[in-house]
Amino acid sequence: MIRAVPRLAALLLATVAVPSPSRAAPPAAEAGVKWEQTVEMQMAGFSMPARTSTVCVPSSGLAEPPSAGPEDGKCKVTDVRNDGRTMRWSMTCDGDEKMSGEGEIVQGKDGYDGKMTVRGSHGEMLMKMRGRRLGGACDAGEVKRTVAALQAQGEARTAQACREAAQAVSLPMFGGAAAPCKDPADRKLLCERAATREGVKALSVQPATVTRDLGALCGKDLATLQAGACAAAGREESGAARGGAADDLLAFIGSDCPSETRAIAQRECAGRTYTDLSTRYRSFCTAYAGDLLDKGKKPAPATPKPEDAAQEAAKKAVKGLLPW
Amino acid sequence: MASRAGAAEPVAGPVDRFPDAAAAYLVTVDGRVLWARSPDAPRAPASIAKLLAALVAAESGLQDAWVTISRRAAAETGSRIGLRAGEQVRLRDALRAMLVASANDACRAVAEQLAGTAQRYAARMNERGRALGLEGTSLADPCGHDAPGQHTTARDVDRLARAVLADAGLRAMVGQGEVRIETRGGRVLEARSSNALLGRLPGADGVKTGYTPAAGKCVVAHAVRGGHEVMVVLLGAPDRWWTAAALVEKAFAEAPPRG
Repeated sequence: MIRAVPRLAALLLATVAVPSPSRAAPPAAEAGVKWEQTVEMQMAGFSMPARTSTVCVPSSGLAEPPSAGPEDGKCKVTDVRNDGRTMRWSMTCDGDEKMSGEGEIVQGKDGYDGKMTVRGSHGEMLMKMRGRRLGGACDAGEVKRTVAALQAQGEARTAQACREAAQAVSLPMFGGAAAPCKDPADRKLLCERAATREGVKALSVQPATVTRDLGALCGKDLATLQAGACAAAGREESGAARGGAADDLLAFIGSDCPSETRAIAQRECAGRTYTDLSTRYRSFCTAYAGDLLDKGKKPAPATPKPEDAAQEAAKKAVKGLLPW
Repeated sequence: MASRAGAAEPVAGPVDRFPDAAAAYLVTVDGRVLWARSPDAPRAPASIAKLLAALVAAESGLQDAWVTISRRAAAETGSRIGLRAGEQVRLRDALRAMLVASANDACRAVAEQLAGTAQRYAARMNERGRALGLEGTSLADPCGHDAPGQHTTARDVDRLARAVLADAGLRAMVGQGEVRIETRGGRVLEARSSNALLGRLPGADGVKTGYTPAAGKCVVAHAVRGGHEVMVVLLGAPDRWWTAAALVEKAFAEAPPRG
């Protein structure tokens, strides 16, 4: 736990180094005054060395707490209350280091004093904050603009990653409460892709613990998506049979669609010698022969047994006698 | 990728993953045994014996010599290219006919030309086989006709095929899809390869087929893809082409990816 303290301290010190920016629009230039800010931290009986920095505070004074995690955007300040010269707030941090806490500062004419108590998995930390007005003009919006730009970049990267994840049907980015991708458009793309041949293939190599989220995300489980993609592939193959189906279509059917594979094998492979196979279906039939070998069967795909054919003929004959 | 002249690495207990594939079989990738069934059991060699016959002939250094076709050679049964008694062909062309089309007339003529009789040539083949380490092979007919006491093994066939592929001239012959030769008298003879995998199975580049009543359908097939090589030996395989093609594909699937 002790080793974790410096990292937590760095995170928290970063959070109090600059005022939190508004998420709406990039802040404009804002008249400010230089302040010296000092933060001390105590945790588990240890005191971290005080950290002093110069920050630019709006000329009107602190309007919001020196908090909220601008470094990673995972700390939020809530419930800010001003009571005369006293400001109180609550804070929560998500991410790897989940924390929550409360802070309080008392502002004077030329400074402020305050503290913040933060609780996390590593225990409770106390941060003492002290501010002193130095004087000298500065742009209080500059840091906010930088932070806002960093946040925007981070959000853009996340959005790009989510689009790519949807395209690649990468479920871990979407499933579960902590998943980073929430945009309905991305989810729609994910589900459309999941219903394609490429999507089914991508899903088939993901663990069941991941693909079980499909129902909640797309309203269909993997078996249903696979059956739909296979049926579509079967229709496409059947329509293209005269000109020859594409290799990737046959490869998909051969590896993922047992029912369609059997039908094509009966049509293109069964009862033929290896040398009689059409060029288009030779690889498919060879792979099918390999499957038969794996099952301990003769590798040459057989035509339906005479008794099977007789049964089929009998069924048709009976059907013909029936009135519907 | 050049094939190694040595045999596939022996394994303590090769896995018989496809018990119905053949009476005896051996499948290797990059010389590593993947699957086998009775790899050391004696089996009739059929025309796969011609691999050893061709190797001995190629090593004679007489490939430009004229070979005269005897009556017995011209009367050979089974696969033939159609040579007539008294005709002459270059030894090189006779080898092509026996390796590509499994021509027994050409094979017999080569054996008689180089050793006087087929029996003496078989003895030279056995001597060469011992030097190659073919411990389970003994041949009585140079061309592979069924004969008492004649036998080979799947492991020996693998080793023999590698020796043939190590000879650039023979390797080129066993990969040809058809053969066209001309007799000294100007008669042109043509035949297609007996190896159905050539031109059909991606990467297939030889080696030899065989069939006799005692041996059943046989094939030793070699293929190269992406820097990997696969050898499949099937002795007594009812569906040899389906089986060989499927096993070549499965063997390549077992090859480690190249960096």
